[in-house]
Amino acid sequence: MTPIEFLGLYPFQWLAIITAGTTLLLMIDALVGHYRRAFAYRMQYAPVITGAALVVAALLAAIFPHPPLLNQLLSWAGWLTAATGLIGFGYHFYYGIVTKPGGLKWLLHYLMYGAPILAPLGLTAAGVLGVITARGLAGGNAVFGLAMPVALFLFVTIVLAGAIAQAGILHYRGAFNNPAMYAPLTVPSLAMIASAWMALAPSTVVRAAFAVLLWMTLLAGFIGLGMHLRGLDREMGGLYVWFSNLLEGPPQGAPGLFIAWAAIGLVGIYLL
Amino acid sequence: MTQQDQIMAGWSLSAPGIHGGRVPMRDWSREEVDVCVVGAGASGGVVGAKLAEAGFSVVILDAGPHWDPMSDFISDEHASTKLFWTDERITGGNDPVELGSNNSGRGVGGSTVHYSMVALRAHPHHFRRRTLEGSIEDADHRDWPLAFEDLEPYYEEVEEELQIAGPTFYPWGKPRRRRYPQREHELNASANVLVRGCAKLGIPVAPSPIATLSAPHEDRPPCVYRGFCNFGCTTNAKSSILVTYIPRAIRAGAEIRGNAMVARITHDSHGRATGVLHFRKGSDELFQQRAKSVIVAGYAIESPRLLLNSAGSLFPEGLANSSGRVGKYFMVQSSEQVYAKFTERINQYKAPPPGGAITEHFNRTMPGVGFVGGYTIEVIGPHPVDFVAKMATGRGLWGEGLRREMLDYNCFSGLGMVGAVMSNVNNEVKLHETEQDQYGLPVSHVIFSYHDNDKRLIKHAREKMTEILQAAGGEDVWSDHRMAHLFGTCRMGLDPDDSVVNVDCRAHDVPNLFICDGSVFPNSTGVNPSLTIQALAARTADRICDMARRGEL
Repeated sequence: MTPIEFLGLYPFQWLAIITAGTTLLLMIDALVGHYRRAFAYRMQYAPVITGAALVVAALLAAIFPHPPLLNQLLSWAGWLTAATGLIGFGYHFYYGIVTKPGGLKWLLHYLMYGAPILAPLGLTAAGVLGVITARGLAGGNAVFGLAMPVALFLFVTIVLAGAIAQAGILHYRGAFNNPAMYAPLTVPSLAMIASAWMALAPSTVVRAAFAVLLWMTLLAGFIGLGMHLRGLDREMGGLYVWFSNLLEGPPQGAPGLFIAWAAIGLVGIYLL
Repeated sequence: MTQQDQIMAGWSLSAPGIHGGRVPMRDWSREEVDVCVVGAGASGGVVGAKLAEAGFSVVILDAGPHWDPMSDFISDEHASTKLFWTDERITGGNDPVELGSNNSGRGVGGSTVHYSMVALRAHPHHFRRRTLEGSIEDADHRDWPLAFEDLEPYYEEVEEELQIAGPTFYPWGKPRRRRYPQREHELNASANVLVRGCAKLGIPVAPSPIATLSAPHEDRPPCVYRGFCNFGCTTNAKSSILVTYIPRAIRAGAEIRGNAMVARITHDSHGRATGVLHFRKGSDELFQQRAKSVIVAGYAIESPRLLLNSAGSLFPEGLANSSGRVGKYFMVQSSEQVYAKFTERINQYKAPPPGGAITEHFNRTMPGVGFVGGYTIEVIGPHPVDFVAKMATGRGLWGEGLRREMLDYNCFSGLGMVGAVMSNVNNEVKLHETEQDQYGLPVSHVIFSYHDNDKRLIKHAREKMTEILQAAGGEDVWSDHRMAHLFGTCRMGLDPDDSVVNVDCRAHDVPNLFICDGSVFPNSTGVNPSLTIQALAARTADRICDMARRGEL
């Protein structure tokens, strides 16, 4: 395996940048969501703090890929963030659904209106990506007992599934009021299947299809960012009261996750 | 009077969302229109818009103004009384109905501009109550001459237009063929109380379908949960007739004439309606609007009053009243409310009053309870002025005691029922013998007494609501008596000697006169009636189109 340089950076430097970007998106999302609930629990600060640590560690690793200490730092920050995400998932599940009036009988309601159930797992995914990146930067060809590309493709499969599910829930809540809201359920789903295929039974045909789907997912992510901004404008008062609508309208950074997850797949295809 | 003068005198044309602006629309005042609709509310708006879209020339008259939500609706309880019909009426009977507030509307959009938006379908059994429940002593218990299945497609149609936000699975009534157009709203704190209490008692409870947007739709934003729905929604998230069907009607070439109080329906020597005579704001003169057909949609007090006021040599007892049934069988829905105090802040005024949860578990005839019919339990959220009045009437508080208790206003949560009421010939709307309104027209005399069955049903509901509130942790439970919704004064039936209109809402006596609103209900259901009224109006519009096509009008 010969890592290929792109724009002067090696694949794992790119992954470090993607780690930083993804974490930043999730961190801001957590900040906005938890601010909306006025940081009622002290734990609501956790994703912001550990997320910030991971962003810094990932950026340092991207700029200085060689010092083992920085690799180690990224790895630790990754594990810490991943753990925070898992704990957050527990909190979101317990306080966002189980203890609410009606509890699990009202699962569908609280999936739509409780704390976004899969958002903390996004943070876990970012943490795991940090760990994978640290391993790669340290020269490792395998991680978690899997060859690096296989690990990456499996990772993309899982995170796309999560992103599609969360987008599906929230777009369902929005009654798919714009047909574009079906987009995250279409192309990324195919990309997810192709990603699993590439991990388990790679071939040139699958690779070609996967590449096309990843580019389309990436494009859909950018369009999604624009659509979410438009969605904010369609809330009461629109952009004039942008800050209120930031709290109530579509999550502004969320489509960026599709860009990030697709970019990981593209790194796996083209650079590894 | 020039056309411009007419516009200045009569039309308040500022349209929804257009601040201080005027909407250009057709002026049909000098021409004979195909259809003249009296009343621009839940049914008048629907039937008028659909007929205009079908190519009829339509004018819709309303006694009140054409509101502009942005500038006319004020988030203030007292100022909102202008949305109600507060002209003089006389009320009587053993249980006199309090008139002029929640059960009335004046202005384009009618009561839908201030209603609580609960958008429930009647159940199939509501249409067959006499068959299923048998005859009831001292009551005129009836089936509808049409079945749920006749209205089902029209329920779907109006739900789509109003973009009803409802649950994915609604456990009561006939299973839906299509999902609600929008998703349910988030529960507010009062709805949490209902869900919590019901969960503890094992009573099924579900998200409430309501007519306010939970997602953007066309140029309307989703609800921001201000909670001022009962005072006119200033954001247009509420799917009132004013912001849904009325703009459709205008686009299709209808004229919406606000501030036009209809005094009587005119007819020719063959007994056919020829139009209406109406007053316009700022003038004592009676204007005529000629029409080939007239549709009365003034609700269960003003509709019979207009028919009775339209008596002539051919119709000495009132128009369409050869059966003597105009004004008879007046019904309300029992709407008892129960409140409890909680240790935590509830802020009951926040979010739309229905809160987001409902139980129709008791909306059926239950064995062994001693009454027939059922009721729905809903969340309510009165604002302080309304609430303080309830504290005074419901708890007998006054002075310092009332003031102290009101300090805990934010900790109260309440439930309200919507209960079926028996139809009875002694309950009626008639013309008062001496009293006249500002137009010189005899005012309505509304007489109502509850049937024993109604009283038992109310008692049952009060007990259940109390249990739910207590199970949810509420203390100091108290109740307040209330009525809502009006029906039955121009009832629908197959027998011309025993009813006013047929299944198509067409008057038995006058072939080109239709009565299309809550007054045609032959019985009252256990659900809020607005959606049924709208579905009936949508059906009537289609039936009128069919009749016109066949040359039967």
